[in-house]
Amino acid sequence: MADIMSVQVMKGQLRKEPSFLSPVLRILSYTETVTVLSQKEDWVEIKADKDGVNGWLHASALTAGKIELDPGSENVKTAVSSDEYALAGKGFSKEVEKGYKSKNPHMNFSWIDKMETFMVSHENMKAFLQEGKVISQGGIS
Amino acid sequence: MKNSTRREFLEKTGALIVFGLMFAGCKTMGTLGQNMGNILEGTVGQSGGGNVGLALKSAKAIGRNFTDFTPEQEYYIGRTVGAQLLGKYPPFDNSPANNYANILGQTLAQASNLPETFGGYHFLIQDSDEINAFAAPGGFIFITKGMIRCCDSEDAFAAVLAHEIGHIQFRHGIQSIKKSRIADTFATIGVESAKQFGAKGLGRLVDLFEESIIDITKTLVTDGYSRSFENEADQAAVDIMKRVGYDPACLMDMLHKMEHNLIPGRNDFSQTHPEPKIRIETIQTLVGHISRPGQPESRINRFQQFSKMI
Repeated sequence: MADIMSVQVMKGQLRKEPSFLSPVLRILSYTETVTVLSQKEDWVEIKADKDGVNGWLHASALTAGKIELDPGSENVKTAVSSDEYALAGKGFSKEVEKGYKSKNPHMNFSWIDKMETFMVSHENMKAFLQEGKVISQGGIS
Repeated sequence: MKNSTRREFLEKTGALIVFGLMFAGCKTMGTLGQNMGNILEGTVGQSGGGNVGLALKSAKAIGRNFTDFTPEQEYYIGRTVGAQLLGKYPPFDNSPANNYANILGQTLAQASNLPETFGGYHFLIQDSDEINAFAAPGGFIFITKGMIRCCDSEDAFAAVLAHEIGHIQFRHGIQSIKKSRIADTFATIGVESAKQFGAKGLGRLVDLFEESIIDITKTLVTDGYSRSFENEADQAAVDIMKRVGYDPACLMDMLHKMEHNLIPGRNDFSQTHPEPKIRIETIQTLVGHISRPGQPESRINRFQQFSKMI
């Protein structure tokens, strides 16, 4: 039986090789399912179920089984007692943050939103390390 | 991965890769919750619907702990903790300086044992002379100008950021939430999922969320982490710096300067962290005796340019 896993982060980076400066083949979306092909240390070789693209994802981007989105489905009703399904958008969620903001109107999230726009591409990371002559010892190659 | 994060991942996924999903129903529940759930399910679970079913789910939720928070939930906790931290020190609105912090910080995070969080790692400088730095759950990291002034080099600044990344990697932030509150949260999530209480369930979750934020913020700002958590973050910092290629001994350089700059009695790093000289002794053991490379001019120059902005 092939092992199904799901992407548990907003932007899972599917790479050609099990390395962080390996080219990104495509971004995998939250809850997207993948089939596990092999594992090498902290990297998992997968095939994306959506389009069949093969590549490597860091293990921290994946969770076992499927992540269920539909709040009305039978799967969700049993999810609290099941390990096969995790719940997307449940628990401490966007809806809960909205409720918190209503209770605490003085709280300012504008800079948190702005922080999230601070994104560095892997090309820029690589160039930054090269410019500073920072020589990797295995974590980034 | 050489830590609990790896163990956690292997428990949750590696075993499944090897053995398939056959053991899926046996994992992750705490013993108490699991036994209660099994006993109740065995007796009434099959025929019991409605409130009995909800009671079963709530009973199982008792066994939950911080590891059951999904990256998505941790992200929402981190956003609000971050907003609270910006109430203590305002943001430093300087794009070039924040860009430098992010390119360095995000590069270091890629070499951590938790490179992928739900929303990624993001760094923001805070406009304060006090010496402080915070890691809000999920990857939101804050560093004051006072802390950056304890750094004489890019490598030393990397050490500060890598220490905070270590706190994220070990999920120290959400471990500040009281255990009873976590149990209440998962019990409420179970009820909410069954769509029985609607707005009431959501209101209870908002209360628990608010209380959880207070637990974490109090730890970050006032109480500080345990010595063992700080040691774990220092260990992570040394590992990350070695992997990326920075001089891990610069963590000690930074602490020497911090010791000089700290003003006793302030509600900053001196209140929430072990004394620098104690950390230096531990870090020296982690780093070992290594030959220290000189820093190339290009690295020195760009850090000097950054420092002028601070």
